[in-house]
Amino acid sequence: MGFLDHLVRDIRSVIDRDGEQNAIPPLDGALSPNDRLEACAVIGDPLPGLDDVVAAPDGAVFVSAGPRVLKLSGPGFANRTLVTEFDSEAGGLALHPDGRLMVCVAGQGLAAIDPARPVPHWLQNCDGRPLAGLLSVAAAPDGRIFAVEGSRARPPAEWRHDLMEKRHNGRLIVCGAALDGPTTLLRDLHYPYGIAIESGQLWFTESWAHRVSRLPLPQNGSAAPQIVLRNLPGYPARLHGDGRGGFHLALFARRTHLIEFVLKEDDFRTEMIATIAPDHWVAPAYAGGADCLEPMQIGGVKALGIQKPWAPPRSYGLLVHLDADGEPTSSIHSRAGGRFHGITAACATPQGTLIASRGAGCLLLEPGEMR
Amino acid sequence: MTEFAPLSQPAADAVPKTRESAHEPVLKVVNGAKVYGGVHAIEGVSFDLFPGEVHALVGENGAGKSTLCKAIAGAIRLTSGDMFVDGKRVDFEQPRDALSAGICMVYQETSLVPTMTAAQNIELGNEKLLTRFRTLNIQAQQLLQSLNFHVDPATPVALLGTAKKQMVEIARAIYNKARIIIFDEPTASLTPEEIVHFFHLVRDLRARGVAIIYISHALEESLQIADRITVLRDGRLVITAPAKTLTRDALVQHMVGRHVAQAVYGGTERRTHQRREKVLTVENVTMGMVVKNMSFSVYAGEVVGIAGLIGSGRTEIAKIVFGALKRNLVNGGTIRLRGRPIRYRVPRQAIDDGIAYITEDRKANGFFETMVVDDNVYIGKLATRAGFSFLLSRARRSKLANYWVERLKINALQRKARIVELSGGNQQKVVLAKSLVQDPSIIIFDEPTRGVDVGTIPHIHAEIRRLADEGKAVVVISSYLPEILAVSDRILVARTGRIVAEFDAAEATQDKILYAAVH
Repeated sequence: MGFLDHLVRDIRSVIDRDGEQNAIPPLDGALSPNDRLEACAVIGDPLPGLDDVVAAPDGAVFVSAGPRVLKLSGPGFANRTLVTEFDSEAGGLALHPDGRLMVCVAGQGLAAIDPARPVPHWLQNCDGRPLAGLLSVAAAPDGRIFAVEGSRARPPAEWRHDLMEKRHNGRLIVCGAALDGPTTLLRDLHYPYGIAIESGQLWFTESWAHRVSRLPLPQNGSAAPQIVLRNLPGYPARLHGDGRGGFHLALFARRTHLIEFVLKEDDFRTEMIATIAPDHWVAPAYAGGADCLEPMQIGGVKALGIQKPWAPPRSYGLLVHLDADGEPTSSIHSRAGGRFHGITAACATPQGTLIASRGAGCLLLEPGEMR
Repeated sequence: MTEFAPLSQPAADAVPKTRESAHEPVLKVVNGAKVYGGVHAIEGVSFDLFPGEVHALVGENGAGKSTLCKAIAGAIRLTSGDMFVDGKRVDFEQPRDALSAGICMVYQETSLVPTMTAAQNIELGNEKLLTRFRTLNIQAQQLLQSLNFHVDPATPVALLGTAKKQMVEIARAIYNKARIIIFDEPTASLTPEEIVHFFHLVRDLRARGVAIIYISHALEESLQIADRITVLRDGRLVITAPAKTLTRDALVQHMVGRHVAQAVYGGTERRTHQRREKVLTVENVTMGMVVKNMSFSVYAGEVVGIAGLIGSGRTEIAKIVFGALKRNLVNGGTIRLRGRPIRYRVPRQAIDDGIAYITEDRKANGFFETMVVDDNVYIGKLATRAGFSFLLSRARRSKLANYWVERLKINALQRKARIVELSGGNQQKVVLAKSLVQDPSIIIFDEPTRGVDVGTIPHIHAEIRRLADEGKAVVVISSYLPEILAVSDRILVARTGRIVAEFDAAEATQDKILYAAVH
């Protein structure tokens, strides 16, 4: 960043005084902090790399954890069955109306797993580009399949790079039920992470823009999204319907002043990316506090072993319930210093709400209904 | 409400406290009456006060408390009746006469000179020909310290907050070696902790034999601090009785002349509000050292209460939102109105955007005191872009005023009176009308019932609830926790410029709020 760039930035900060304020929206109202996530029951053994969870019609759930996709069933989801295992990380899941399980696989594309066939069917390219960064998938009642790719340039594991390089080249794609005719519906999205279809509307999240948008299910390839929620206090991840018209929106990290500031300091970021390991960047994290090399730790956030009241959270756990209009109605949290951070997905089941905590690598059960 | 220490202090017990144990009243008013334009402000009121006694005067606004006290303090003269000090008949022509007789009044709306320092105000009226500022400041400092008031004597009064102005006013009374001190709503602008200090001071004064007339709308305070209580209603004496024989309910019944079924606080209907549109979002707003990184949001159709001690930044954040104060230019945070960032240079822009701020200092900022009700309401309308007009319409003015007089139950008999002549409760209603006539979508009430009588408080609370039910976003800032608990759907607690806690109305208690406010 040269002298002129600095000068222009300073002039802009005076002219556009509200453009450079590093302001974070408050956690209040329906987003008021609590410790309800801490009180959730942990389901079974840890699931390292846990990413998504979706409910099946028979009361079981499918989860993606690392390269594996598992089916959890029975009372307390105690029975675990391996559905399939891939060469790389499995991410977003969805059940097609015809019974197939759709899985986003990092670096490979979209896999459709038919219970009757051992070999998955693949969609690996769209508009001549490989689908290396698919994050979430959803199936419409008419059989069409919609999916979001967070970044064209970075695989899902390098999401921090995508944020720190300030990219916004995610896309929303659609294809037929047989994974045929893939088309890009929307491009240049700010890391679209989650997607859901409810009442004829397609909903999707954009993590780096901190917003949730929706659009009518497109019929002829054109689509004009409408922003429903903007300026969220965290980075939205996946969005799943709650079965009553509302949604469970997972936010995998909390926005902080420090990160907002770093995102405006181009020189600092460039040097940080070049010289520091990604796990130690000033960037959002699924989990934190375990490594002494992390920024803002030890004396910066704790005194006599107790978390300081104003310590910025390195990571955070937040699940928000939205009503059918997309308005937040309630939320459950795991605050700074808590255990269950990095929430990436949640789904409603007859036994309660199942929550995927990627930071803790475990599946949680919130027995109460969120509404 | 803060639990005050028990009254039975050893020093206080050593002095006479009741009529029976004292010899002669230090002050006696017999059949006092004051007539304004044919209307009796007080009529046939007899009142006495003994040395070392705290005598509380209670009554609704317009009951005649202030009139009686102004007559005692020499600010007005009684139309008929006699007044005796130490058994001698007196007839004060001006406050100086009363002061020389040892009577000093501490007014509800402070009467300090804003451009002079605290020390100069304390000595006002007793200046020597040559006074060194240093000596003056040292004397004032000693006095303020002895009273446990943390006020810098060299600070101009205009720069002091309301509570500290009140402290200077009290210090001035002590400095004048008053034998009879009249406190008019002394605790209205004090925080719970400051009230505890103030009550210690009152006990000290009582122990020294100073007689105190205590006017307060907070009936609990009167019951706790007073030895005797006199109730006035419509300018007439209703009862004078030892405080220990009275209860809060009995006092309210004597004051309003009927049985009040609803509790004044906590009696409004509470509903669970479905949260709707997020109207106002305050994100990390910072202003110097007063407001530090404050964040909260307000939804349509809800009442958000902001509690906290004085100096916690509550009033300042309201004024920043309204454009009366400016947040920091760099890193001052963001305020969003329905998602749109706003930064007002002047309050006019906020009014145009539908934001109303109802001030805590109504005398200074709330109304034009020499104008009548109709004019004040109309001026509120003229301040809006929609209501602006080059031609003043008398008919439009009357129509507007009629609506608001009816809706807020402003005493219609006083329509032609200047605002300064109205009672505190009616003044406050005019301030409300002046802002509500602008049809705002966000209304910020700052101490909405300060200095308002117990009969008017439920009306104001009902109006607050009604505004929320109409879908407006309402913020209520109050030092009085029962009020916050009574009207709020959601309660935020401010401390040292930050919002430190949030409670739902169902889970909030005074203890929780106070704990968050001071820890």
